[in-house]
Amino acid sequence: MSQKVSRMKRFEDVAPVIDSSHKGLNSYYYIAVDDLIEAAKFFLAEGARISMISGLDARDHLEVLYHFAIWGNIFTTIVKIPYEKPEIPTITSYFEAAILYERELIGLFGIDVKGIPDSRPLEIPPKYTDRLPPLRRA
Amino acid sequence: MAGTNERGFARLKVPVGPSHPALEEPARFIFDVEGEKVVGVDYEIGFNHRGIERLCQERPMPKVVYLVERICGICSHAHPLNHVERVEDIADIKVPERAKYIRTIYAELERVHSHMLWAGIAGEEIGYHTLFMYTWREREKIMDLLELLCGNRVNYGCNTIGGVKWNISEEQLRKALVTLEYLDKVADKVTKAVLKDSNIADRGAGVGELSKADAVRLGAVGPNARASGVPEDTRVMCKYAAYGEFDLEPQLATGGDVVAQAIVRLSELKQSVWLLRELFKNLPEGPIKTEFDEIPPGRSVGRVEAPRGELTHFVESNGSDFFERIKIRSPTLANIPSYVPKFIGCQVADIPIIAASIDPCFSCTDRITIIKDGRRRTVMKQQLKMGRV
Repeated sequence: MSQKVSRMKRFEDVAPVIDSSHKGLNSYYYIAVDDLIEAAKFFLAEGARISMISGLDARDHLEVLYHFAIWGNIFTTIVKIPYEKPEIPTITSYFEAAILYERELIGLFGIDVKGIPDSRPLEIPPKYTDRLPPLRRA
Repeated sequence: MAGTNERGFARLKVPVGPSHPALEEPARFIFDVEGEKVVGVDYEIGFNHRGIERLCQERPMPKVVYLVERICGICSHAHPLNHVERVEDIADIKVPERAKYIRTIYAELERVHSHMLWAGIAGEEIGYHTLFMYTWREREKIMDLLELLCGNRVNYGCNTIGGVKWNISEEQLRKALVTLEYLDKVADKVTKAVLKDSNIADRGAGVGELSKADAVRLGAVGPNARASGVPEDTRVMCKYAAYGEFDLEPQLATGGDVVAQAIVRLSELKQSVWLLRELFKNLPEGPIKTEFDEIPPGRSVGRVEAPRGELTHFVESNGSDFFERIKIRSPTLANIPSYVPKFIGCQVADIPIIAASIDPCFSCTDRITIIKDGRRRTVMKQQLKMGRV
């Protein structure tokens, strides 16, 4: 537990945490989109693995949740992005495995992932354009 | 001649799939080949996208357990197990010990039958049909055991929020122990049939190699990562269900080739049979379900070890009868990037066995498409109900 606490103290030095919560093996941190790359660098140095990236339509904005796994714990780093400008930077330079999850965000949420090496939407047919992305509410 | 390499071979593109690319599920690979050698690969998935994550948000909570159970026909326990554990985490529901043991029993039985299925498919891909016939015959014993325990062979319907639905009687326990004693011998026999066989050594050694560094870099999970020496097993790391009561070691191999994949899965087969016997012998007495009032707002993310690797679920509830969001990441999706180093440098004839070696499951990975008048349309459940397609 102390290792987890010291890790999160160091994390707060790297990326200012807006809001956080903890439960069992999970920790959740809201950070600004601009600090995302720094957070990715931090977790790479800590030996984390990107377990999953989830998108979430919170009705008045979008959220992207990066679930970094270190042994049994999952550190979820969350960024809020506005409907009007759904843009996030790619973390594939640090976590190559993130590419499929980021392509999912492009297809299912219509989020623009800046700098992604392959921007084809995953799982969605190529003709599925000019329509609301399937997991957006409005 | 232009467009050829130094040995005179032209560089060609060979599409494999989407229908039946070595396995009975759709995925498309486009190989760049020079002569018989693969020099580049691209992949396309999503041919079976069923929109289950969206459907999960449009159904009342108790029905979602049934829906996630139907994501996959092999991991039909791992998905609902992870889902109910997430909901129990949000609502702080304490699950009785006996229910935890019963969940673990189903999870391990699923692993045994899935690994035997893999051994059979791997044998078939390299022309070793005897192994396919043998493992699939013995796999029926486990399917019969599952039928004895829950009445079903594929969708067990065991998990429910707060516990399990099916109890295990004294008679079922006695019969299960007899079957497990038999399966212990089968596990030894299959291991011998695979690892002592010269055909598999000839066809599998050095085929589809993946270094430990590549496995970590590309985020490989489960037996695929352990075959490259990455000591990560969610059962050991997260100690969900009753796994915290037993001392398990991750089963490892090196190299990541077909033989290493076989070593890991066959050691796990033996380990699972041992664990099942322990679980049945130490099954605690008591209730199998806890009552609860309501699911409060909250979120939970967690992992379980499906037979193919780490399965991650994220659940967010908003206090109503419907979930705000359910996100599922199947192990095969995490394992797909590791196909690239495995395929590059291999022979065209080795493509089927490499594709089958990571034990891919595309019904988990792609989650309604309808083809009408030759046009593909993606439709939602309401449209289907209202007959608008």
